[in-house]
Amino acid sequence: MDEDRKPKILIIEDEAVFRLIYRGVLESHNYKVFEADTGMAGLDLAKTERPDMILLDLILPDISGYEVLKKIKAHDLTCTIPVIVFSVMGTEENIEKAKELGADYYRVKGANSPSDILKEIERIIGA
Amino acid sequence: MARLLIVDDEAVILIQLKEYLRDMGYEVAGTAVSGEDAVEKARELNPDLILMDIYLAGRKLDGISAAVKIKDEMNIPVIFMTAFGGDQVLERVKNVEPYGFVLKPFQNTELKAAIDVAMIRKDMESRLRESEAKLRSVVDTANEAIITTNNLNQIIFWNRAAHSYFGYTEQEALGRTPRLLFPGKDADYIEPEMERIIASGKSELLGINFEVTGRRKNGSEFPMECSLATWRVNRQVFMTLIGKDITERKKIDQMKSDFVSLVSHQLRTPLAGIMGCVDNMLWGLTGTLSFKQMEYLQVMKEISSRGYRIIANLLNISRLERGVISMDIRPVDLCYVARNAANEHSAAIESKGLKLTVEAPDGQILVLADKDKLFEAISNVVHNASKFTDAGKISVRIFSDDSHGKVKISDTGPGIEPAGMKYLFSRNQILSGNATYKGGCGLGLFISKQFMQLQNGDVDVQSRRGKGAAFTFRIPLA
Repeated sequence: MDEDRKPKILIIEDEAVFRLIYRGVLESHNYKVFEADTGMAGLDLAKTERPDMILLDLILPDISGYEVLKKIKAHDLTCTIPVIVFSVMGTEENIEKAKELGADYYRVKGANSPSDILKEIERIIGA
Repeated sequence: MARLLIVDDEAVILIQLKEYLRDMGYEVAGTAVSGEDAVEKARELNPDLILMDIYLAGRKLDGISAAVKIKDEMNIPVIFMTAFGGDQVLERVKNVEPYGFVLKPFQNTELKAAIDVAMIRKDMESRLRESEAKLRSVVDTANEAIITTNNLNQIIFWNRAAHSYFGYTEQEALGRTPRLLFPGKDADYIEPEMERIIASGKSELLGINFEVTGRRKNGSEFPMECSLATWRVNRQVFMTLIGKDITERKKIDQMKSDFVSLVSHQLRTPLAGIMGCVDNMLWGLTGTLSFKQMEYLQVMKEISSRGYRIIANLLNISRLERGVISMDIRPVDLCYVARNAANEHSAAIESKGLKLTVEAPDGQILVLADKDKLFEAISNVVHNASKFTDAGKISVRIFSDDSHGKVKISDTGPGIEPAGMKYLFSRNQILSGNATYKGGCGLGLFISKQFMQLQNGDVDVQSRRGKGAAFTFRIPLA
């Protein structure tokens, strides 16, 4: 596939191991992957790259994932990008809060295999 | 033998009385001729009982006034003697709460009866006072607020702890209704129950510990654990509320549960990382794997999943304890959920050489449930079945009756010891010593039961030793 026509996915995640896992799965299925290990870097990339989808961790070293989510959904350039929140915290409180702030999907880390993740993404962006 | 003080302004009578009394076997500790004299002698001699003439001629203190002074100061019982029993006098006498009253002239036997009755009463009263003082000191030493109300819903007893909890002094609290002590919502909960106790002697609050919010005089609120008891005396209903401030305990519970939650998340992250990496490798993202490599990776996947599951269960327990689990109940297809829950374990079951069969009707069985919690409850039981069964099969049957969707999970494992059945769904089953350690904390079944009950369903088990176990879930149809 032409490099420019590949769907773009932005991963905002501070744990290198999860970036590695998602990147592996996504690149094997012809997605172009961008990575950010802080919330602020993620917001910058979201604006410059305008990805087709964002995978967002809730616990980040600078600002919280909730904060990032709020900013993504508040900015004209990024508000229409679907966001999947990925967290180890699978409690109702977290899920509820993320959904209120505009998260399109919520997945619990460790409870989802690569094929689950991929299926979800394909369904959302219709690739 | 009773020691008496005799008070009369006529010396002749004193002498005569003294003799009578001695003959009757009493000790006359002394005599007095005036009110002042009587008070003085009472102080000096501390008699058991005073025989007091009411009219003491020409002196400032008459017998009644002297008796009042003696009662207030020394609490020595008094029997009045008088030749004149007019209404006005009787009224004054009554106010002193005398131990007896004899009209002159009297027979010696009348006097003896009056003295003996007074001595019995004195003895009873002092025993009563002693037991009251004992009780009072216990009640005042208690760290719990102890509050008694009568059938007019008025506070009639208020201990020291109640004062320090609520900020109202005894005087401020007595006579008020208990509504004073609770914010509106909690008062609306307690008051009808107290009224029901007055009317019928019954209430769901009797015999249990319940939590309510207390409200202090300054308006601030605090969590309380209470118990309520009721008793009747002469058809009057009384209630005693014993309450304990549990602010500290709540704080510690919260800290404990926050800690469990934090640690669980911290532990989950590396495990989720390992599982993700292993999944990617098994999926072929790192190139073709040899059979041996696959085998090792499968084992890694299994043990990290097990760790992940244990941590998830610890988190669930902590959330069940905090009561923060909410159920998102809506119509879901039981066949879909149960099939997925069973299939989650199919690889592990088949790798043990066991057979997994899932039997479901065509179409859907719509039930009212929280999809994720229902999945977890069923998954826990299938997981358990696969852990404990070493040969044979695990069968999952999904069906329904008029009111409920059902899932029956049967295995050909060793079955459950009768002694263990009682603890099977309890969170203490490991501690009970009846569980068999099989790579878990024994929390799964507790969580399954709790989750099912929170969804208006349930799970039960039937088992005979050596004949396997069968767990049946039921959940209301939509």
